[in-house]
Amino acid sequence: MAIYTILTETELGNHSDKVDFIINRFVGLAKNPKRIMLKFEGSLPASLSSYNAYTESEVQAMRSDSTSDWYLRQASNSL
Amino acid sequence: MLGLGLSVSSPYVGSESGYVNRHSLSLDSDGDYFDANNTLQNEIRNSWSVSAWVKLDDGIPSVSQYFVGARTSSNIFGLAVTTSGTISFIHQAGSGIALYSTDAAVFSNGETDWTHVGVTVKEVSPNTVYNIFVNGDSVAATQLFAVSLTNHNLYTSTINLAFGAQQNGAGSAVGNTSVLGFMDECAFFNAAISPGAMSAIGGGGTPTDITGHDNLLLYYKMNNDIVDEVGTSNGTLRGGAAFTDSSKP
Repeated sequence: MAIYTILTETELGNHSDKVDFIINRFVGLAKNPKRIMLKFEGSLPASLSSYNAYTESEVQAMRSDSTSDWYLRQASNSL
Repeated sequence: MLGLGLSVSSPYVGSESGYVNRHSLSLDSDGDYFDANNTLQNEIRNSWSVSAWVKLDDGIPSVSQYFVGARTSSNIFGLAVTTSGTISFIHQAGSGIALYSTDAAVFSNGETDWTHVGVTVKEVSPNTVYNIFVNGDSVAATQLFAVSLTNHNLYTSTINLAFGAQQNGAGSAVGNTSVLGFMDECAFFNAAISPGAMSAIGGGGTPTDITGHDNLLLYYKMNNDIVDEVGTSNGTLRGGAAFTDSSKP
């Protein structure tokens, strides 16, 4: 079961696993403030236990809610 | 965007007519990719660009799939479709790392149409500048962290550039990074080509023959052979990668 969390750029920058998270756990970015969404299997690692955890359905709800920072619209690049 | 390719000013004048694209590269399982047989270390330390046509089995894959990439323990570049359908570019060199990701989903769930994707990487001070292109258009994106000019020039790798996965060893790729679908007309330029040039290449709806394009260093037409049209480095099919005439842009 996937579990997600969200860190600001500053929070991620201070984390010892910053590179691993970017390379292997990246899901998406949001602006203002700049944040990164990370995905893990099962549960968040202990070093991130103080951060909010989001389920797959909660993330899907964010992506489909046009008022959410994580709303995913389609880019208008069709031919 | 149809027709823009003929109207954008570019020092390159392509042979728009007469190009018959016969085959594409078919990647149907993890571990399939095209090895360029060249690390391009010196080129990656400078400005560069990549251009390719892709057709994905799923535009929102369960794991990120890399259109191009190479990875060592601390030196990485890669352009990928993410699990949200966005396109992201990752760059790690020296002690620097940057992530550049489109703000909106480029692909939707399920099989995609043939799409042109490109990235330009510009070596400048104070930090490297990235630009992602879809069907010839620059796409709005957000950047996390940065690679300084000093770090940019420290990129060090013995891993060959791969099209269709993130290669991390001699003939092997990072697990679950292979594109599942098709790729075609894969090219590498030893400069950050202009938006107009990228539009001319990817904005016309179908590929043109870009042989002779300015700064073109690798050009694989994937027309049933591994030949680099530029003559820099012929490629190798890895895993179950194959050429097919069943789908082409």
